[in-house]
Amino acid sequence: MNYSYIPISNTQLAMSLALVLITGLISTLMQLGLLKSLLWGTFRAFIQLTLIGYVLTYIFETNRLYVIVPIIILMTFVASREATRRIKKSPHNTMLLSFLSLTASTFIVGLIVVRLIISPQPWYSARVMIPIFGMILGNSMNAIALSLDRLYAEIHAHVNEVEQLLCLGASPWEASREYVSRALQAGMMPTINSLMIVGLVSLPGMMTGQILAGMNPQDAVRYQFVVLIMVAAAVAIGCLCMLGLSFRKMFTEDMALVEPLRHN
Amino acid sequence: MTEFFTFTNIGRHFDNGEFIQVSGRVEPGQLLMVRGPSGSGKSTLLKILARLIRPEAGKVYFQDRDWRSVAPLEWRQRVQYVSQQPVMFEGKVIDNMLLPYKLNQNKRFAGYNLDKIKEFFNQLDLSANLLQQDAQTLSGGQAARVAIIRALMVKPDLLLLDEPTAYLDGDSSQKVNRLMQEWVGQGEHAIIEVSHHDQNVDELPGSKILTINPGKGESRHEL
Repeated sequence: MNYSYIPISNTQLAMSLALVLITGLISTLMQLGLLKSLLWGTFRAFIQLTLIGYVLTYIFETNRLYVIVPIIILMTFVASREATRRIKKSPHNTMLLSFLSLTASTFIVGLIVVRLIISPQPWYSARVMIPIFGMILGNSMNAIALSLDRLYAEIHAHVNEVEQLLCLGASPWEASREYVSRALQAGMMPTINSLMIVGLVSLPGMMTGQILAGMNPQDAVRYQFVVLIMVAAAVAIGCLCMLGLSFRKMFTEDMALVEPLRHN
Repeated sequence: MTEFFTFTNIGRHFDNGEFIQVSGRVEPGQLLMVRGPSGSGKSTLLKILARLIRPEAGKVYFQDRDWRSVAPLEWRQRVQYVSQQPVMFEGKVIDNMLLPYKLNQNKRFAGYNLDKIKEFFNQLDLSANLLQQDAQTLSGGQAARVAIIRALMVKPDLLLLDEPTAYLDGDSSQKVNRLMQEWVGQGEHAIIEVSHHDQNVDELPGSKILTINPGKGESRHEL
């Protein structure tokens, strides 16, 4: 069977806008107030994707490690900011910890996948590195945000329990292990779920993209499997690093909870 | 002569901006009753002495040692704090009683004495059968008594009790007070107890009362 890539012309691209207009029309008729944000969102998506199209074309053509690495570090920085921006009740500056955790998980897993598994020529091919590292970052970012949010929520809800255990002679780790474990599970849950339902409920975006781009489905499946395992590993490493670093900041040298965590 | 337990000018700001400083001293065989209106910082004082909260000012000496020179784990074994809301963990009551022995840091404990636990249970009117019951099903009054016994089993030198009889009826309160008096009466331990109630401390010779009656702004309270 011949699989080929079907390009989308400008006319075809414009036609997709009809979908937005239909939705906008319905919203206007029903006075749902969606039109403005829908149009603004469509406009932003178009501009952002067009720009990234040009940027990626430039990066792929240049294909230099000294261009690729700073870009990945910048992506990590943005992801670490996003991961911790909405965390409430944080007793310390979580962004630095998030940056360290994301850097560790992304570079450890990303380099293994790129160098040893996919191994393109040269190994630092931007065409492989940027999307792979991007996928790792996106997933790890969400997982870190979920786990950290859960960690602080659990500690806040169980201050009495943690302090009682400390009073009975528990180390900080013993006093908070249960809540760290719950936070880790919360962070890993979406990834574990996606491993369970993949192929049954939905086809992952990357695999769909590769099939549409003309790849043999069996080859697309191989790629997707590597990506799923890679994401699971990166998410686990990212969450473990983040929780490990945050855990140390939750207790004082007196082995007591830091003040911001004690207050409800 | 070594002083057993002394706290000097322990101070902390409260939410309303008030700064309260408290000083006191307790010797083996003594019970120090801390009294004062709600929000005067009595419970906070106990948490500070348990090293769960840091004071903004003041010093504590335990057997003439500055408290900062005592490792937190040693402190927690020698100074046991029982909170106003007793916490029971998952499992049976016996699991809760043995919790201090299961924690890694407490490996120095040679072992527990089940007979001693049963004796304490008996003194506080708790049936020994309760040990096999799910700890989450205890009433507030039962949990309060179990929490006190759990603290005693750690063999502390000083017991910090925050309203130990708040959940208890008159009869149980008396039994708890009697046990506390017996324990202190051995002459080796001391108790600092926070209470709203006007308990009669005269029964125990050498007991003292520290009253915190905060005014506006700054206030100091000494024995």
